[in-house]
Amino acid sequence: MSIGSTPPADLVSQAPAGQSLRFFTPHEARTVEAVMGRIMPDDELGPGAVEAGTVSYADHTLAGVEQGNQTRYRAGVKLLDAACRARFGHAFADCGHVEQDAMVGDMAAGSVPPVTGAAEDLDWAVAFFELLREHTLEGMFSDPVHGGNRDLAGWKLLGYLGPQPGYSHEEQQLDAVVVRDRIFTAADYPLEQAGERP
Amino acid sequence: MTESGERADVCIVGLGPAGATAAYALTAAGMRVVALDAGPRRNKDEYRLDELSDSVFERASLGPKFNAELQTWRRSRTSPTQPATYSLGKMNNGVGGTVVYSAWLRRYAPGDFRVRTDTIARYGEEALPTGSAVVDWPIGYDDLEPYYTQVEQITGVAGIPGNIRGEPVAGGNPFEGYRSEGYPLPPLRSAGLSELFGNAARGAGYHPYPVPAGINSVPFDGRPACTYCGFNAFFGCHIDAKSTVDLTFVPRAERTGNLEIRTNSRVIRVTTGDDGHATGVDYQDVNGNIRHLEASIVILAAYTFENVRLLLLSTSDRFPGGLANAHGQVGKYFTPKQLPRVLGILPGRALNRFTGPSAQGTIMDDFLGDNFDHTGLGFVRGASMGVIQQSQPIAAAKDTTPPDVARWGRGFKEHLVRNWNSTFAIEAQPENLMYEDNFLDLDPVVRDRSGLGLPVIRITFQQYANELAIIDFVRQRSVELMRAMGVEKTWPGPTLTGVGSSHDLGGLRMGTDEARSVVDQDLRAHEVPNLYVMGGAVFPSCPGINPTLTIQAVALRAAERLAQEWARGRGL
Repeated sequence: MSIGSTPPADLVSQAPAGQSLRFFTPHEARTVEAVMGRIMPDDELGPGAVEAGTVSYADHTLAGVEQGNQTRYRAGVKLLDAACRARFGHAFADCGHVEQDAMVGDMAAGSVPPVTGAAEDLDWAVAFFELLREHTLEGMFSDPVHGGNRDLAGWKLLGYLGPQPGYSHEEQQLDAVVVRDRIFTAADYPLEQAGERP
Repeated sequence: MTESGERADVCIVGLGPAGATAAYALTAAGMRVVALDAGPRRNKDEYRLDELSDSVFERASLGPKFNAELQTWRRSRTSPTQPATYSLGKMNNGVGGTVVYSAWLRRYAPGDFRVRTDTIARYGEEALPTGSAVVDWPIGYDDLEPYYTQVEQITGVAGIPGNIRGEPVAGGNPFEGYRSEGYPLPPLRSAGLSELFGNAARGAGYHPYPVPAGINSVPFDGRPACTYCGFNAFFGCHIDAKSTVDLTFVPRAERTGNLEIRTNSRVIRVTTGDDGHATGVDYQDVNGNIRHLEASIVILAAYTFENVRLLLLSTSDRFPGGLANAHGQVGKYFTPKQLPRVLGILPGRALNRFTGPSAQGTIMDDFLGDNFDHTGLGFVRGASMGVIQQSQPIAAAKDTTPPDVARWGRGFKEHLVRNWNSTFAIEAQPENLMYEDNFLDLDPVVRDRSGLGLPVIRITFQQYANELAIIDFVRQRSVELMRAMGVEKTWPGPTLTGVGSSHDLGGLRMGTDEARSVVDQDLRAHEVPNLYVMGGAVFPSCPGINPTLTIQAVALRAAERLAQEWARGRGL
């Protein structure tokens, strides 16, 4: 199976190595990637968030259309690290998976105790978890033009064929197997030839 | 800056379903129409098959104006204000208006126009909930039937009729009103899931039927048939197989030579003269300049929120509380629709819901309106319900998870991978009664990000017991049907799905009582004789049926009557 299109080079971030980060500091990128890797882990079912490049997606998005969320990330990483240091003695990215899972679980449940006593420290955890989860899923499953879904890993994980030009009646029946020679992306459109249509 | 000598017979604000359908009738009658739309005119190649950027439930990139003026929301007059939430997604801007619609073009039923009369007759006045504001429409199904037919024929609706001139038709909706013509196109093809639902519903004694859709099931009007690509509702159609008014009514109006369209032209107020008549509109043009357009007649045909906002922003010495608002009616009797669902998994089955448009579904009206006996149920009115196609990966991943599945981690990933193509929902469209305390006004604090800094609309809305009971009732019916379909595990989606729903109705009620409504049955403002309002804002009720077809039929009727009056040369 070949890939329908390659995203523009400037959208392919090298994070978390650091060189082409647009918004995150290297430490933030490392931390965010670690959280996202726990939300969608790599396992026997297939690649996870790290492999799909969701941190690149988040970096690209925060530097672009979601600049309004920059401060939530900046503050969120600091608070997350503070909570981890208080509980485990080191920053989130330096925790093992068991510790990281415990912390992500507490964030999702809103049960992270306040660590700094600052006003922004009261309700940060749930909101930050939800934002990270949202960006993880968008980074896994959006068109690769947005900086994530590297090598179409997210779509392949689901068996999704991307925006195909169409489907037959037979393919819409229960348990029908849909086979295509390649995954499409938005960059395949507009279709040049009517012959591309089913 | 006012351009001297520039004057239109009619200025239409917003060239969506209401404005375009009106423009069609007015230009055909020889009236010179200038239509101002805040957005661009797009062609099919501009619609990307990109769930993140283009869908209205994600970034909604087709609605930059709407996104810059998002509504605020509070549950009651004493509740804190927060950002509004949107169930189906946000609205978009541009010629054609809601080119992202699902194109479910269903008629309202005859009883939907006389809810108050029928409810009292069958269940007594005490059945109407406390605080509700239930009224009959000032027009009925008989008034609209010819216009429904005309809109269906021009649009090219695909479906199976249920009642042609009083004769039932097998496979159609037996609860629909009579129609003078069948649908011009055969229905969209069925999908495996819709057939499974249909069989379960028929087995339970219900009456499922295919969604009537403004989508080409076969080539029509110079446009191709749908390819079932799965990017339909929430997107613009990249091959013009979805019948939106920029492809249907607008070209017909243009061919008369009487329609001028000004795109990227955002109206900011209706201007009035000393005699209390509207004189035209002020608008910001594509270059950011504020200009004035003089018009003999002004028609507001924007979305519900913007129609209300424009009247409230059009203050003057004569209209200090906003235009047409002497009785404080502007913004009242508003409701969004809620879109509750029950989700379920057919273990191991491939549903292939990533194919096809949402309209390629099967629905039933057995529990809609007053199609069933409510005696002893503790609520009035009901909901339509059914299954749809069109599932995409981001939406599927963000959807409500079953209660026994974590929202992250290995279990979550396994749930997604194993079940995303086996998961579906029975989706309901419940009626939402109007209430005295659900309304729109201008937010006293929050301003839009348009550059003009105008107040945004503030939604005051909460669900009341009657509507919660409808939702509970249809969820029970949904679970029963899903069991019959072979589903073992079901779970509910949210009860409050959003305070913006794309079916946001009321706020500028149509009625005969000047103290309790804003426009009359011909959509003319009671207080401003040459000002008209078209769109869902004028609806006195919110039936459990998609509103666009009725928006068009009501607008077409009003425009025809306006053109007749213009021809007679009186009253204006």
